[in-house]
Amino acid sequence: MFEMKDIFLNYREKSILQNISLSLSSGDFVTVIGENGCGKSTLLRCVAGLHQQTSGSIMFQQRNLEQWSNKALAKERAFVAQNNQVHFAFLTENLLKLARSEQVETDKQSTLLICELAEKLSISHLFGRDVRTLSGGERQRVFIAKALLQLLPSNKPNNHQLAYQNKLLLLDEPTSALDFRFQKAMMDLVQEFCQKGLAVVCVSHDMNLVLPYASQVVLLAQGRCLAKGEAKDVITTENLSDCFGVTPKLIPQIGSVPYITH
Amino acid sequence: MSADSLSVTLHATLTQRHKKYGRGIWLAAGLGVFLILVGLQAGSFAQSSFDMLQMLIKKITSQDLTQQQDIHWYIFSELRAPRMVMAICVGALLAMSGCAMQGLVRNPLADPGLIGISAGAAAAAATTLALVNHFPELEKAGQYLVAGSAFVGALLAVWIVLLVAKTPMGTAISSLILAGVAVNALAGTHIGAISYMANDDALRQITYWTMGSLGGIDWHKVSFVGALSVPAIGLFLHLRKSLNMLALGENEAQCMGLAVAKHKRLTLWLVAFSVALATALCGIIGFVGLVVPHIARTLFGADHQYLMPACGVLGGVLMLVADIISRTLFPPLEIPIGIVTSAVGAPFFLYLLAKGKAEHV
Repeated sequence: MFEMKDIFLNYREKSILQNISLSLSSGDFVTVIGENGCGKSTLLRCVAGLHQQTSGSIMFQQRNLEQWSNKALAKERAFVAQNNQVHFAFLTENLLKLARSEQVETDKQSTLLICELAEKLSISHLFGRDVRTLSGGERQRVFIAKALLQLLPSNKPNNHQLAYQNKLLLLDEPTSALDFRFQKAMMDLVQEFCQKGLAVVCVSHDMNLVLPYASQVVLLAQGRCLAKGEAKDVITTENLSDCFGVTPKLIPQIGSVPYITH
Repeated sequence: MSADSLSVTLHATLTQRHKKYGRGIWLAAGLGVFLILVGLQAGSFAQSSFDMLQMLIKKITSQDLTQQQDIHWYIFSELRAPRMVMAICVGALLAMSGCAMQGLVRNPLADPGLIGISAGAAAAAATTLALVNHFPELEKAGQYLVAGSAFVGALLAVWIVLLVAKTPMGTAISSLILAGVAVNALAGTHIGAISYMANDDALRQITYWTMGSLGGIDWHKVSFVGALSVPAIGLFLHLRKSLNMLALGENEAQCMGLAVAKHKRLTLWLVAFSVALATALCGIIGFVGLVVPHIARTLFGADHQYLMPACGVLGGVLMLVADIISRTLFPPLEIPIGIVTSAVGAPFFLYLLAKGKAEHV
């Protein structure tokens, strides 16, 4: 459903991304990891259609990404940025309502969908609150809820088996502001949506948290793909030391990817 | 609480809020109607409601008015009524422009003047006023030349600002504001030079024009502005959803389906057109575009769905109040309306700055 081939991206004669290819199917969870400034967020923005690649092609649902109109694309892919800022006193429910503004449905229908998701993400108690006054973690959950609402078709309920089939969610450090409880809860929730057909590309520095959920891992270093594949193949001492310049300790775990520590 | 019962509660809250804000906007419109009635009577030549009603009935039933009533009728229908309608149109255009501008640059301290619209209009008007004064043969068409040149000057200033702020990724807001500062400074220098060289008459006219006034408004000008205001106000209302999206940032707005570059361009040109129109016919009327969106935001919240129509109505109301004050404070003298709006707006702006500093905005 998503195919990125030989992507190069230059900015002011500086090469940011070099020869990146990425393929996703419905339900995939791809984790992008790498050192600071290696191009992870740029790659995510390229996938989102916010950056135009210098060369290479991006196909989404068998159509070139450039051919998508903003409106049509918004119903199929959503992006949760690292720093979500709201510049005016928007209430939580107004923000979530905005995510449904492109859908054809009654107010009652959209309100029900908002409430279902708000309950799932434990944000219903934030209704009536100015989004600017929410804590970083609360705001992050509200924006993830907004992204999921944006992708949900109006004719399918939240609990529908294929509600998110062929949809793409892009997450830039989704758990950076979340506490210990919500980090795990958020990842479990994203996995639950992947089972409903949602494909996810997630950039994160918290490798121990995200890697157990990943069906595919992309290791980036200086804008290039150092390794790609299943976590057990990519997460090796050699790859990680090549990428980060330090040699980590890998503690093997039964039936899972190794635990990474210094 | 289950999602179903939560949804019922939320739906009820949203419906209640919708009704409350709707009532608020209608109430403000009612206040506007009341102010029109007050404004028609108020001034150096006071008219009672009874007199007005009597004249109206006589006019409707085609009866002859007395000589004194004829004068009263003229003041009522040809002087006060058109300026009231003009005050409403100009107030709505300026306030909605301010609301759109603040939404676009995501800063509640923004004002349409920020991108040099008013300064461009003033520079062009000052030049024309000086020329009209120098060439008496132009005097007959003088007021139309001034209005026309002010309109063109305003749009020219915005065009320069947009040209400078244009990047391959679209219009850069920070460059837009900085270019606006430069254009404002250039226009200020130009006005200074013109004022230095102008004779006393021209200087007086330039000063009067830059203070803004609803004097000299007739039905001909009102019908012109009214006919152009209606589509402009319609477009401002159409922009409500896009301004809500832009409040979350340009990338976020694009990801939510907004054609950001197109909507930014449309908003900027609409603001430029509206402010140019208002300024061309009434001169510079400051602070309406800054203060009204703030008042509206306090009363109706930040959602442009309600904020934009509220700004339109409250802008008209504020201008009606300012017009009544300008005519009744020192009768028979009429204070330029721009002085009244600035006298209210400038302290309010300082208050906002102080409040913003306290809140680290």
